[in-house]
Amino acid sequence: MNYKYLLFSLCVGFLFFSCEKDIDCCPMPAAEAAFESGIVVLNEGNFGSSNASVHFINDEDDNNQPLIFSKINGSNLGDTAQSIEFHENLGVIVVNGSNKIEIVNRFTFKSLATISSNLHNPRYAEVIGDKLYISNWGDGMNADDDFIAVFDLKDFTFMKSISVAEGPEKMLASNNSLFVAHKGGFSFNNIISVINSESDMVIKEIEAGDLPDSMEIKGNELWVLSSGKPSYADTETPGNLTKIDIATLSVLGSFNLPEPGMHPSNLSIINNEALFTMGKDLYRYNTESGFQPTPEFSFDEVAVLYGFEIHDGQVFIASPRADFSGNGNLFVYDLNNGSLQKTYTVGINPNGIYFN
Amino acid sequence: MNRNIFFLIAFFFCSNLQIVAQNDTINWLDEVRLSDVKLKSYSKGQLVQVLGEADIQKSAPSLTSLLKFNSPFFFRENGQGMVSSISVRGTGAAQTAVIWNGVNINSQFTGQTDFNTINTRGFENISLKPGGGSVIYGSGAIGGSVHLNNVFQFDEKSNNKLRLGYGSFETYQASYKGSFSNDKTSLNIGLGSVMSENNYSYPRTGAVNENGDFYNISLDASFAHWMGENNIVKFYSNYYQGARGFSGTLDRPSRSKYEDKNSRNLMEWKYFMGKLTSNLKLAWIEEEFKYFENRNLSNFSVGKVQSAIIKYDLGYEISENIKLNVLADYNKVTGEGTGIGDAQRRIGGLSVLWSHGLNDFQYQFSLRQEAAEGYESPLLFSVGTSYKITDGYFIRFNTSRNFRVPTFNDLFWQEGGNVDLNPETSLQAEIGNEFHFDELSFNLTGYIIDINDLIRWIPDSTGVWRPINTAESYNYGLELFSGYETSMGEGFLSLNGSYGYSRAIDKETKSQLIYTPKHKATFSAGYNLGELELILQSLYNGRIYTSTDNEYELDGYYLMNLGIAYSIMPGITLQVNMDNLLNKKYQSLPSRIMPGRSIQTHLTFNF
Repeated sequence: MNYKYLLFSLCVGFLFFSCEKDIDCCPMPAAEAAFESGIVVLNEGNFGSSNASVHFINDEDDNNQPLIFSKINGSNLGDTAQSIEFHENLGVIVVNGSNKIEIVNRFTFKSLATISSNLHNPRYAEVIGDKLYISNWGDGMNADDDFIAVFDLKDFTFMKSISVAEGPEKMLASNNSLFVAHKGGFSFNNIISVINSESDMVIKEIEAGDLPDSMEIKGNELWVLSSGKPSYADTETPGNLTKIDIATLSVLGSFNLPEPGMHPSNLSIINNEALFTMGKDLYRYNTESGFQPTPEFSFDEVAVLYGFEIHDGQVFIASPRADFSGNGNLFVYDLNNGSLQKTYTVGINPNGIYFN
Repeated sequence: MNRNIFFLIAFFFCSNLQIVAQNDTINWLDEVRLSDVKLKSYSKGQLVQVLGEADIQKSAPSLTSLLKFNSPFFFRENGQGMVSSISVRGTGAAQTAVIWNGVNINSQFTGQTDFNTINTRGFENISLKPGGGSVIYGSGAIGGSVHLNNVFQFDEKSNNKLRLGYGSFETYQASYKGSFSNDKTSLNIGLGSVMSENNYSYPRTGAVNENGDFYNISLDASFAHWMGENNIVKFYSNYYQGARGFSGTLDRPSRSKYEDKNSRNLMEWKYFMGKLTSNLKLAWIEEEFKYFENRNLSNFSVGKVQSAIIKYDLGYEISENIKLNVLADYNKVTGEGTGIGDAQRRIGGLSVLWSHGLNDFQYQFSLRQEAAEGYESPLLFSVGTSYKITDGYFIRFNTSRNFRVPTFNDLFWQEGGNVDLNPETSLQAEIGNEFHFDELSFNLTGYIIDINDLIRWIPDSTGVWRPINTAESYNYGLELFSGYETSMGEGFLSLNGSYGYSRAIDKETKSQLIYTPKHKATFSAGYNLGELELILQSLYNGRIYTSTDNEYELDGYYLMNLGIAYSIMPGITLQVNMDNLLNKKYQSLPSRIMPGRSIQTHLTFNF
């Protein structure tokens, strides 16, 4: 008989242990324009773990604030944040894994809208006039379902979907032209498609190098840096720099890097020179003297060069931990001599650096 | 009925008491009834915890459900019914070997077994052997091994069990198990199937588990037949087929689907000739998957691996107390698939095992050397002893070198596969204490493992993810299994508990490895009173780190299931299980929330 009570009291005992410690984080009241001036770092997080976040660093007083999106808005940013586009007061955050776009005020990070339909594997955002363009891979395995989604920037309603070639990634606007770099999704592509923002039609596909990575506009020229096909491709190809006339959309010139194993990324144009990275090194291509095969600097402190920006004479590098687990770093180098100036701890797998 | 359950439970407890002085009759019976004889005869320095049919039938059908409530092992689940991997003694998922009737069935692609793709209902017993075992069981037996066994009877009886179930989230279950024998021939048949919409809501979030539907079916058959006095032939077959939507998470939608098929076949011919036992085994194992990124489209990626194994084992009884086994085996694995192209691996191995019993002291010594294509295999060894100090107290010791070979994905993945990898190797030791006081028994083991050449996928200088032998770890901890059973008044009470304290430390960073809780405990109780049986299962999983810098973690959680079985009439039992009775919100991977409170009902017919 007593044993029944024993069993019962065991059950009751366990019930006592069952209280939960759910610490609900309350939204923090947003100070007016709390993030007016400083560095915004996007941490993509781990795929499937819903731990993307945004850091804000005030580089005047080194005040480093984690998780600003969730603190201001009281909800997680989501799964695998790919990129941010700043436009006037807006910050457009593309959250790839969550298949959504978070639109915030870029100076307060207060949420203005969430777009979660008419997207499929979204990657990057760009604005022309009153239109917001989002590049979408569709299914990575499917080469025929890639598109650019167009939304109205005034009320964030869906306007149109423009079917494009496989693997649209970064986009760059110039007047009425939207240049879309097609890296190729799960496979490889080599084109820049041009969309006219009035008709929202693809008006041309221009061949660049394999895997176009980054674009910059210099005067009337669009410079496209392509990474080349990697070593595991059927044929490895070297990186390439292609110049395109923005008005005529014709290729003005193209330069292949000398070795097939050279796979550059992160193009910046400073004066007449293209700067780009390979591995953890910075390289230079000069229109007159050509490619300098020895690196300018090596960013030795960086574990993985994942996000890269040149801004105000400084090089900003977002570096995950070497195993892509846990907190990463933001490194700031002097562009003149490559010396490390500052190091900040940021969130999980930082991939992008933006400036307010 | 009451008496039968008593015997069943009593049988289970007896089988838990491992170090029962063995005699030749028992050894010989094992040779006949089991394929994996060495699990008993060559594990003297280690604990083998047996979960019998009664435990198997009490739990939900997946191997994950059975083990997470009955062992100190931790499971990392991508949601209910989704991919589930084990961590034993703080080691990784590829560092535990799953052994089906003596044959290692870890995936050649991943090195792991998905514990949600094993339906337990087709097996007569499932044994847990924490600790090293590569000499006998091959790659992956570092943290431990999990053994799925079919056992033959020659008792001229036939038993049939049919079980039908329905429960929350539109979950349907059915299983049948039959065993038939005469004095020459024995046959076991098992059939199990689970189908679920699995559309549970995440407790206290408002979100629902989407795209998590699954079904699976598995078939087990084992057959043994005596040919004359000295020859026995056995066949074992296991077939599994499943399809799952890979569920979304709290913040990530999913439309992917995964289909997998596994088939395992084993033929064994055993010949007894005086002091010699000759044993020839042929095994054929296939694994196949299709992954659909979008289940509505016909695009998919595939993988298929076939393994052929031939193993010859000659045993010789040098004297009544000394046994020597010499084994030679050859293993050919061929694979093809998206991402790996065509791949092949051939492994040859030679092992020598020596066992000696001296009254209260027993020791064993074994060696294995493999020759494989593509990597250097270390010399594996195991030394084990047991010593009976008093009738109720045994002490055990084992030390061994074990390994985990690179997987097909590690070696041959087109985007980064590395053919220059070495196997992960471990050197480990453990001391076990086993106590029996009448109705109480417990096993307490302390262990230390030193693992070198851990294989990790990390990006190289060009950003391509590649596996390399990079990290080293040391693990240490304590493991406890305990049981208590007593008849009380009208009824019969059984209590079981387990606890694991595991430290798994990266030698360079000094941080605890991710997804290895320091604490895991289980407690279960069964109370049997006439037609009624109450079953309580509970577990505690400690906090786990989800990042290698130990900056991110998931909270620990406590879960409890309650079941009531009632025998409506002889041979028919109705069982109602309330899972996650406390309606906890819990997860073993970030944002992959497991179900809250749910109900499963079963009707069992024995005939």
